[in-house]
Formats: sequence, structure tokens, C-alpha cells
Amino acid sequence: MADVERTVRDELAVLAATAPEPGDLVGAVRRRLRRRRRALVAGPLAGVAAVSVVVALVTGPSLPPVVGGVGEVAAGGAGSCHEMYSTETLPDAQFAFDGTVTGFGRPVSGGGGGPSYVGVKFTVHRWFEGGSGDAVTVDLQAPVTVVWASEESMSYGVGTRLLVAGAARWGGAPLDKPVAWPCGFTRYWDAQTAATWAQVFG
Amino acid sequence: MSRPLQRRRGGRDGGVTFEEFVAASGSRLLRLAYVLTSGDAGRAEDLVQTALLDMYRHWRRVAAADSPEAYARRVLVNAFISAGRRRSSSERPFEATPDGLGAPDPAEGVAARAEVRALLESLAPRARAVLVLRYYADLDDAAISAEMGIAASTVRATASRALATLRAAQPAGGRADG
Repeated sequence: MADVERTVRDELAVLAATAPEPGDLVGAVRRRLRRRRRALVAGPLAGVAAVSVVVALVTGPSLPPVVGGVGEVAAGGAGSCHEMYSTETLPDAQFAFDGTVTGFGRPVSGGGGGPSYVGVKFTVHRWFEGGSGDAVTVDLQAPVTVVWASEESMSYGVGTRLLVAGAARWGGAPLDKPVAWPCGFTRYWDAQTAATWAQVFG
Repeated sequence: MSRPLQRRRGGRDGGVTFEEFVAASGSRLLRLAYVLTSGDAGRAEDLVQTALLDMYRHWRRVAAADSPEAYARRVLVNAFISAGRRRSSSERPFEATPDGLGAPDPAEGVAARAEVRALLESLAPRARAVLVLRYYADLDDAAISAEMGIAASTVRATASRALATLRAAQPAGGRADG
């Protein structure tokens, strides 16, 4: 084995040897489950905002989506970016695909506070990572009104082609309650960026 | 006495109960989480509890799988990677200086290992997870691919880049003394 691999193996073994013994893991799981059930009871109130967004998208407004958008997709939701998009950070995504929006629905990643998501349905043209098949629904932060080419438009909508990267919201398999990441990880499609994503994900 | 968790999960029909699984595998999962988090006991415990909660909620399906422990590792590793993205991080991938680590000294071996340890801690979450699963958990690339939900080629490429970063920071062999 090469020296660096041996060193890595040795260092990780040394670290593992200092790990503490687990406490009452079953008890801890029980407590988390109780907290989660309390949050689920309170959750419908938090879900009202997301449902309102979905209703607005289904019945109006009548603004068309951006055509020919470039770069990051603007979306609703507060908060700062903990990690910005780059070819260095892109591989951290569990799933990534090239897809066109076909519709909207309820969020698929569950409640629990945080940003207001909508479930966005896609026809998938190409999977770069983490999925297969020609359709998927992932949660995105809701589209917002933008001014594009001097026209008011929705930042994205039915017919918008996007490059989408994200992860399972609560851990697990890539498409287990999937959420698309903001901060540049969800972008308008263009051929050059799509080629870069293909290269990054191998 | 509180109601045991296993009453509604698994049962005593020959299948492993959730509590039995935790008793058998809890220490191993915590050590894995501890190594992933570079020795952060609090984060490690949080990751293990996240994985176990997921397993408990799906225990009937998980218990019927070939390897519940592999399922737990998958949830744990993916939770680590997801949490790593959300954390405000000042970590940046180490960039090796052209001249290596400086002049050789009698404790060069110790210094080199300390440098490797620091470099391991600075790796992006997914790169660290790949190295931990390969060199601590002794999984082959196919198993890592399955557990992380990424292509085997991505596993190899990620490991290769991370090891290249570590190699570049090690002192060159055959450096002259003094």
C-alpha cells in the first residue's frame, strides 16, 4: 500500500480508538421521535404558506416564466448561503439533473420549518448523479417575480429548463425527500454549463 | 417502565428487533460517525441518532434488508454530507505549496502525520466520507458507490483527488539533510 494510503488508514484508526462509548441510543431515538411527533402536530400551520404558494401557481398569477434566463435561478425563501456553487462544491450534491418544469404540487420533502418549498415536477433530459428515469419531483423554493428583458416574469415556471442539484433533505438516499439547493446550484440550462456538470460528475 | 420500542417493530418472530440492532451495532456506528466528524463527539452522536431514527421509522423494511448496518451507514454518511453543506465553513481544500512542508527535521515523520491529519479534516465532506469508508470501514468502491448513492467512477475520482492532495503536501522523498 502506498505511504499516503497507509498514513490515512493509520490516522483514521487512531481517531476511531478515541471514540466514546454510546450512551442510551434507544432512549435518545425515543425522545427524538416524541419531539418529531409534536412538530408534526404543529406542522399544518407552517404548511399553509406553502399550500398558498401552490394555489397561486396553479390559478395564477398569469406572468409567464423567464425565457432565455442565464445563471442562478431567483427563488423565494430567506436565509444566507452556507455554501456557494462552484465546480468544487457541485460534487457535494447527491443528485443532479437537466430537466424541464412540467408542473407544481405540494412539497415532497416534509415539513419541519425552514424555507417555504413547492414540489416541482420535471421531465428529466439527463441525470448527472443520483437518479434515473424520465421524471422526478423535487422541492424548490418558490419562483418569484423578476424583471427580465424589460418584462415582468416568474423566475421559473412550466417550460423552464433548469440544471438542478441538491440532496435528500433529511439524509438518506439522494431522492428521499429531495430538495434542490439554492445559491447557484439550481440554474438556467445552457449547453456549456451542462457539459461542465457532466464532466464534474464523471 | 416505558413501553419498549420493539413491541411494534420486528417482534420476536425470528427477526432482529430495533433494540437488538442498536445494542449490536451502536458502538460501530458511533465510531464511524466520530471518524467522519474528525472527533466531534456531539456531532457524531447527532448523526447516529439521525440514522437510527430513520431506521426505526422504516424498521420493518430495514430489518428485512440484507444488511441493516449498511442501511444505517448510508443514512449516516449522507446526513454527514448534507450537514457539512449546511454548516458555515471556513474550511478550504488544502493547496500544497510548491516547496512542500519546509526544512526536514528529526520529527519529520510526526510532523507529516500531523499535516495529513489536518488535511483530512479540511477535505470536503464527500471526499472525507469516501476516504473514511475506504480506509476505515474497509469498503470496496462498489460498496461505497451503493452506500453513498454515487457512481463508482465518482468514488474513484473523488478518492484519487483527495489522495493527490495529501500526497502533494507530504515531504518529498530523498530530500537532503541540513
